[in-house]
Amino acid sequence: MAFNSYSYLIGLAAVVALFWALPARVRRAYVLVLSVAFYASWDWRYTVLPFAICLAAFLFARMIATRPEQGRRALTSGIAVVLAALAAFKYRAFLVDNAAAALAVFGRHPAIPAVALALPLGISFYSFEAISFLIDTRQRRVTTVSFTDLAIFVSFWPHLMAGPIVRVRELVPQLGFDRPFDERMLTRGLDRLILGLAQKNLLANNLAGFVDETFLPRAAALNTTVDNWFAAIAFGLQIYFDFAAYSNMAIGAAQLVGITLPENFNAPYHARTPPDFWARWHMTLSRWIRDYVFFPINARFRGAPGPLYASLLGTMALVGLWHGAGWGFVVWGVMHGVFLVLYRLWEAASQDRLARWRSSAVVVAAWRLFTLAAVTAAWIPFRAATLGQAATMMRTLAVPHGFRPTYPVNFYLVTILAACVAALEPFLAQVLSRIESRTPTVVHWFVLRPALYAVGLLLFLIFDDRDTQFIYFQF
Amino acid sequence: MRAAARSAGLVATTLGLTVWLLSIDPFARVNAVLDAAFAAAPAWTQVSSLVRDPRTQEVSHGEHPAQGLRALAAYWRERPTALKAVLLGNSQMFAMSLAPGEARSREDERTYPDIVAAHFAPRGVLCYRLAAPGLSYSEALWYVDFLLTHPGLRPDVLLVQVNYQAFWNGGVRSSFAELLEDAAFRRQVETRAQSDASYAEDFRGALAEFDRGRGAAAAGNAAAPAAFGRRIEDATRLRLDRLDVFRRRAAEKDSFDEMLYRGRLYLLGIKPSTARSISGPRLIRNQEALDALANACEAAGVKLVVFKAPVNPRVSLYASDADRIRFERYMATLPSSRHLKIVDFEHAVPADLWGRQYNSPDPLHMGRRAHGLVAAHVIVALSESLVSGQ
Repeated sequence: MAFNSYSYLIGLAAVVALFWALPARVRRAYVLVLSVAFYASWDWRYTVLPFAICLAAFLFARMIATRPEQGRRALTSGIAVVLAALAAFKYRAFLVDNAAAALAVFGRHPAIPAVALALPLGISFYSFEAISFLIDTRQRRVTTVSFTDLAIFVSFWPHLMAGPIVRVRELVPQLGFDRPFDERMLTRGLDRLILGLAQKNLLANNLAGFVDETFLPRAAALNTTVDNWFAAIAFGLQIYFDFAAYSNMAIGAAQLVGITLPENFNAPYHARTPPDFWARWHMTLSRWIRDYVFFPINARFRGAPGPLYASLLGTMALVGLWHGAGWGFVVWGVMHGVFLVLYRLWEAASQDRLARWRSSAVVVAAWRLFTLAAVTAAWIPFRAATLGQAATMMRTLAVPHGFRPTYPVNFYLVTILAACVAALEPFLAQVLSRIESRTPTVVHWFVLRPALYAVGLLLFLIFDDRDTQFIYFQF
Repeated sequence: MRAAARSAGLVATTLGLTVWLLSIDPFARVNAVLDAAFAAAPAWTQVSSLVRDPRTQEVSHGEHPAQGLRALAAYWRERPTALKAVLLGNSQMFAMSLAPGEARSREDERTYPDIVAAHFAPRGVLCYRLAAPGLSYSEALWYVDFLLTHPGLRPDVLLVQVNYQAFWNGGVRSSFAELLEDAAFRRQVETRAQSDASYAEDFRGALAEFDRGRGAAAAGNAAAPAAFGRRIEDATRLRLDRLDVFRRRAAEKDSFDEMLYRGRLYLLGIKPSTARSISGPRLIRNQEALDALANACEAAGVKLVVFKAPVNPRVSLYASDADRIRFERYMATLPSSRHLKIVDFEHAVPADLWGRQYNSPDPLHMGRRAHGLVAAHVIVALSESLVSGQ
């Protein structure tokens, strides 16, 4: 059941109404059962997997907490178990294929039996949540968590499939579900839910068809420079609206039952620098990687430049690999690593030699432009079917390959329109909030807000396409 | 309690407003205002009452081709000795945009394929119009493959309309995918999809979309055939589709698309009559598909007549001479390499027989007299093909 399916939305209304009608003491069980049913609605065969990972994490965490002297070993073992499950389901084919290719270089061609396993939805997300729980337990940021707490934490349906990636310490304290109903929960929830529905159906889905066509393997060599820039921009907007839509719907659904999930996006294409982009894009993954991978590595080297730059590249390659078992994702991650290193180099240089340029308007504008262009270009290996196709398309971004647009004008116009929406989004939110503050409550409550919701729902309904999935489901 | 009541009020108001918006089609109203503001041609000049005959036309215009082609097969099967001709093209074949001086008629209008079919019917030749708006040549090939994989549908002559601007169309629309239910045709499509041709990507895309729609590969690689969420969604949609207001979504989406289209025409000045330069992947795909179509006809012993469609002399769709020369060169390569006949009707219809689309000359859709004129040309071309070996 996708968040933008009719059955989910109708079901959600009933589920939320019943949630608030139930006594607080039974809400936990109710949410747990609902979450299991939601996951099973996709594929009941894998329903046990999140709970198995959860159980493993719980047992290792208990070991860490009760036997501090063996804490390090328990932590390593726990992480290894979770990563092994992730590798088995997500990276198995990638690892086997690359191992076979490496052995072939040495003239060895071992017969490797093919094992077909479908990718369980959300495994990358709940695996990372389990790992963060183990590390937080080891670092004593988390203390008493029952297995039921952990099971609800992992399986809580709004974030189970594609995040936001939540931490035990920010979600478990809310899982008593004992907050009294507050009408602002409803409006906050509906704001996000309906915004997400419109983003997904109106913007992401309409860009998808154009993106699919411009990224066809045979098109790569025929696309002009303008075509490929537009293809990259269109995909950057598609994935943004798709994932932001999902995150909005997740945050909205959680809010409807009184739970606040962390934000995942903050106008990422308004980023001023490469690090700023990562402070705005998939924020919960960024902070996970920063806190559990990047900081611990750099703490060891006390910020020495060489290890810092190497760890930036390595960490970003890992971010790429997290998205999928393919070299295109790794290249995407490494490209972002390079952008981050470049910015660090500039920061270091602007501390002394280039200090007078540090806050120059030209430099600020140049970094903003570079960030936007670099982030856009990096979407090409992420989306292209092969590295060869990505290389062909990337080459034409820099080396002129004709400037004539070769696709129908609607492709360029829709992309520009979507880019305008992405550019104006933060300002629109400000305008709406200003209007809200100046409108009498009754008007706002029974006219303005329902009118906006109705327009959002109308756009969602008329652009409904049941066969279009969320991009991040494949990660 | 008060909070609950207010919340219920908010939800009820929202749902009520949504239903109201669905029922009034606000975008259609905006379109009417835009048309009035920008002096668009009166709506009645775009004729909506046209002859409908499933024996001579695929009446859904590509929305449900399987039903029409099944009916055609049954009709043709009863007349095994008759010669059969199929006219394949885009909306020029089934639309009429009345020219200045042409009054509206109380009778259903006939477009040129109707006139051609009526002319040949008493002579023992069955004509069939197979047309869809914005038909790409991948789609034309799709249709031809379907006709040729069914002996009962194989025509003796195939007339294919070629427009310069049609080489900018791409893909195979999802409504065509229903033809994949036919096993023989599916095998043919799979063969095309596995080929190295550029249009193979269109065929692959259509196959994938069809399979996704049937649930075989829903939710990427993760969904199981056993996914009960899908069954619940199917049942929910079935129930919602019984509601009249819910079924209006498609019409309202068309109005919304039309609104954006009008914005393009009126505000940006990018019109159907705007000259364009066609190159790149879509051009290659369409050319290769048209080549494959010619090859398929040749292999099946079907006579092929390719005709350059009439264009309104008031507009030039070529952005430059180079575009015109490139297109003409391509067309010239067709008859030399294939056993087919090529006919040029590009300048066959004078300027005063064309209507207007929105607020500019219609480059594609002709008036009543123009359809008669084109029919006369097609009758000559088709007669020659029927009696000669090209």
